[in-house]
Amino acid sequence: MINFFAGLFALAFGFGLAFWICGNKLNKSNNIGDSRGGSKTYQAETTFTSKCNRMDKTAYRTYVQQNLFKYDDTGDPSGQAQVRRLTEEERRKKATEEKKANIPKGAFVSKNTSADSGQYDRPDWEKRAERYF
Amino acid sequence: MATLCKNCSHALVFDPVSQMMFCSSCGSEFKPEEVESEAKPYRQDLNPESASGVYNSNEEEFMDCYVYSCSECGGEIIINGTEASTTCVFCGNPNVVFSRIAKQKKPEFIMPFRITRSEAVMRARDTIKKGTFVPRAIKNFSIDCCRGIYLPYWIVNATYYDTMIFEGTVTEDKKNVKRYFGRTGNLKFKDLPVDAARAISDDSSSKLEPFDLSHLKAFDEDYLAGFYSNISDVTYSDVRKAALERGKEFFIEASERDIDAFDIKPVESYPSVKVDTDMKYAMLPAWFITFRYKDKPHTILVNGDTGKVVCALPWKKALFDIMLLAIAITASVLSFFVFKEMFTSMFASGRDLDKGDLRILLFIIVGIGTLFSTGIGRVKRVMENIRLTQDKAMFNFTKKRQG
Repeated sequence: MINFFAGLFALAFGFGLAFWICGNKLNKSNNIGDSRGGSKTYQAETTFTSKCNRMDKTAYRTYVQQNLFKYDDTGDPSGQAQVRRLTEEERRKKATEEKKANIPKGAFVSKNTSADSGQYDRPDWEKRAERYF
Repeated sequence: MATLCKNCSHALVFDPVSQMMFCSSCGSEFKPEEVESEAKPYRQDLNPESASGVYNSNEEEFMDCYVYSCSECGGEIIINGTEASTTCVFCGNPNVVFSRIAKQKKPEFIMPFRITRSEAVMRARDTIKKGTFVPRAIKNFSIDCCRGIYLPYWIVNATYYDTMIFEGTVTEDKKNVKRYFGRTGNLKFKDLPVDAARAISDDSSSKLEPFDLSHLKAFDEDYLAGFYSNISDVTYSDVRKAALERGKEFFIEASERDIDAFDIKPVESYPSVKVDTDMKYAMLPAWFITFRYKDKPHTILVNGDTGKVVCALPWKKALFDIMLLAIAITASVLSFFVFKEMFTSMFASGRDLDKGDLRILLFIIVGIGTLFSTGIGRVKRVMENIRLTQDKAMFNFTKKRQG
């Protein structure tokens, strides 16, 4: 019995290891240049405006409802129009419309980010600031 | 349509090494911004004739094809609806279709080729030769065609916003349990190049990144001489979709770093993206090298600025199988004794398994599962990318050009 289980585990481990080594070697050998610009390349720094950890299913529904926001980016130029450079006048018009749309800019922390059973993670800067107040 | 040498009237071509316009007849060199084609003023208002009209035919091969005449020899130049520069099949002179890049359609920037044709081929060959599993026939491939093509790109700035729910495993009261993690936030990205040629899949073109945008120059038609080029044919929704996909990728990456759990995967997402309308239209350089292997077309891409080589190639199946079996048998035999020893100590005295034993067994099973899934995942990734390299549309994009 012990021999049977040892053999079974040994075979699974042996083939698992073989797949892992050969898969990685194949990827290195035959998959050339499989990468693209990452977040650093495009200075894409994420600002979290709300976080909630260790939620159950009902809590995460509440979290979604509290934080749901979508940009209304369906105005002109229409999605089906071919991309072209906008004229100065069109650009000015678009900028005015965007100002009116009240899009949140930069970091903000919504007042109520705690879900029912989840815990709200305060950002580091807020914790550090406590020392001074 | 071509810019001529001031000294001998031969057509000039752009030389990636000297970054100058070069005359192959008298050896003169000129700065691209200092020469101007005399034909440009009247050529830029010329409209092409539809090929189906010229040949009075409704055949599919003439769909989306247009007929121009070569400014040097008067020969017929047939190009498709998005090509902006080509080579005359009769006299070999470079031809730029000025009307396609005139006024509103004119790109703002161009990144001139820095890698020459021979350098691109050499880099591709050198990279492929290093591959252990690459078949010998591919290592010594004979080039079907090699074309330097300026691809159209929209360089966009955008703001991405998302509310995302992740599922992850955490340890609570010494038990592993699944919990949900919410992350809401935004990210702005700058100068993301979005491929504006529909003929090439975004999966392929994005692998040419990163481009060094400090090499961008104000657009001048003369840089196109001697190379092929295409103009933008994408819609705003295509650009938004591309920006959204990349934004989502960056957001997931940042969230996974931020969440303190393991086996994290996104389960729900509410993304939106706002693309700045002030996009830059630029032409970026790439070499397309095509060859055939076992009757299947393959296209290798080489970034014309950085020299990055992009392709995925079929592998020597026999060598892969032998290597897999050899490692599997060796590892199985060696680990058999280890497992036998371990199980003997676990079951020897007929005692029941305690929590520590179960934990060790669980660890081994999870470890084996991870080895399998990672290895198979890598093989799948290679296969997916081979499909992109063998893409017929990309092969035809390169091949069906004059010259």
